Amino acid sequence: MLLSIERLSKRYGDMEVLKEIHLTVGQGTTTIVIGPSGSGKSTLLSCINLLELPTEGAIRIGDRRLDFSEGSKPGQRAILSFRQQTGTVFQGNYLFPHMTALENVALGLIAVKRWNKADARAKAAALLDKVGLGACRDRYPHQLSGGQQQRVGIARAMSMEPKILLFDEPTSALDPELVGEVLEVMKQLTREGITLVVVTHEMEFASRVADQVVFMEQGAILDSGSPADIFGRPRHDRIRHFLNRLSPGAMHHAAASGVTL
Amino acid sequence: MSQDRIERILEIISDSLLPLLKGTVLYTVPISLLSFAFGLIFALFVALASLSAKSYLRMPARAYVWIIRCTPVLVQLFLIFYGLPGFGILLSPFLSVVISLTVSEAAYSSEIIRASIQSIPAGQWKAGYSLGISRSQNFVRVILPQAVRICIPSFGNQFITLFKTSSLAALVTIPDLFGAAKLIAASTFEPMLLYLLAGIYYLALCSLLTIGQGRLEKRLGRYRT
Repeated sequence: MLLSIERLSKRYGDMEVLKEIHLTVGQGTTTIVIGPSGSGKSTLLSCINLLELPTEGAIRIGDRRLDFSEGSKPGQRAILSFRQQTGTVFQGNYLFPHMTALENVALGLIAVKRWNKADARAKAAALLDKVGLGACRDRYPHQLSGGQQQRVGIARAMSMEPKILLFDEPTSALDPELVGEVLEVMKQLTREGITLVVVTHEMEFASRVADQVVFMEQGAILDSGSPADIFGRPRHDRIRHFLNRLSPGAMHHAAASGVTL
Repeated sequence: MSQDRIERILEIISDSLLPLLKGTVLYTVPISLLSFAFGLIFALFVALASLSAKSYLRMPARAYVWIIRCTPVLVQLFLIFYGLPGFGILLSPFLSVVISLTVSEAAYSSEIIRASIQSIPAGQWKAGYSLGISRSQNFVRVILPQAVRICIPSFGNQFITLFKTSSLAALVTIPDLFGAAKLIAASTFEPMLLYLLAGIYYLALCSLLTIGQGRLEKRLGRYRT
C-alpha cells in the first residue's frame, strides 16, 4: 500500500473533526471520498498533506512514516519533506495571481528543488502541454477561465512529482460547463497510473474512475469499498439517502456500467 | 499697487527662486528620499515583528507603533535635536531630521505593510506550502510580491506626506525649501510673498509625485487579486 492512515484523529479544542480514521490507498489507484459537507473530508486531505497536523495517529506514504500524539509535533523539516510526497489541487485553485501559468507551475521546482530557471520552465511547459494549456503558458490566472485555472492547478500540483495527488473538491467552484474539461484531465491521470485521492460530489465521475469509494460522516468513515459496493449495494441507509438526494443519476450510472443494483 | 511695490515683489521673487530650488535639491529631496527608504526597510521588520506569534517580538513592535503614531513628529524631532545633547549625544541637524522622519515613517508604513500582508488570502499560503515550500520562501516568493502591490498606492500617499513633513527641518536650522523661504521672509519682511512661493513649490513638486504615483499604480495593476 502506498498510503496508509492509522487511528488518525483531529481535534480543535473539544471538537473532534476526525475520529480514528483508518484508510489504505494502493499504488496507482484512485480513491474517491464522498459524504455530506462538514463530514471531515477536506480535513482528512489537509491531514495527509500536513496543512493541518493530526492530533493523534500515524500516516505513512511509501517508506516515510509520521506519528502524531498529543504534545509531540514532528519537526518542520520532517513535515516539509513528508509534504513533498503529496501534491494538492484546491477547490479555489489558489493560483498565484502575480505569476503567469508557467511561473505558477515552475515555482516549486525553483524554490524547493533548486532547479535552474531554464530546466524548470521546460518542465513546466511540458506539464502545461499535458493538461492542454501549452498555448496559455504566459497568461496570468485572471486571463484564464475557471476550468483552465484549475488545470494549471493540476499541472502545478504535479510539478514536484508527488507520489500521491490530492484533490479537494476540484470542480465545486466551477461553472457547470467548465467541469468536464477538469474531470477529463483527472481521468487521464487515473489512466496513467498516478495515485489520486479525490474529494468530490461528482458521483458519475466517481463511479467511473474510482477503485475505492470512501463514505465519510461526522468525522468517521462509515463505509468504504468498490464503486459497485458503495453506489450499487449501499449497506447503510445514510449512504443510500445521501446518494439519492445528491444525484439520483449516479445509481443509474452504476447500473449502466455493469453494476447490479 | 504702486509701480515701486510691484518692482520690489518681482525682484524678491527672482532673487528667491534659486535659493528655494537649492534648498529643495540639497535638503528637501535628500531628506525625504533617505527617510522614506530607511523607513520602509525598518517598517518591513516592524511589520513582521507585529505579525509574529512570539510575544517578545510582537509586543515591542506594537508599543513602538503606538508611541510613534500618538506623538507629533515635531516633538520627536525636538527630543532628538534639543533633548539628546543633554545626554551627550550630539547629532547634526540633517541627521536628526532623517532619524526622526525615518522613525515616524517606519511606524506608519509598518501598519500599511502589516495590513496588506494580512489581506492576502490564506489559500495563497496553503498553495505555497502544498508545494513543499518553507515558511520564509513562501513569504518572500508568494506573499510579499502580492502584498507590495497592495501597498503601492498607500506608499505613494506616505511619500507625498513625508515630502511635506520634511519642512520641519527648517525648525532645526536647515535651509531646506521651507527653511530657505523662512530665512528670506525674515530678512525681507515679506512673509506672505515667500510662504506663498514656498507653497507653490510644494504644490508643483507634489503634483509631479501624484502623476508618478498614478503611473506606477497602472503599471503594477497588470493582474487582479
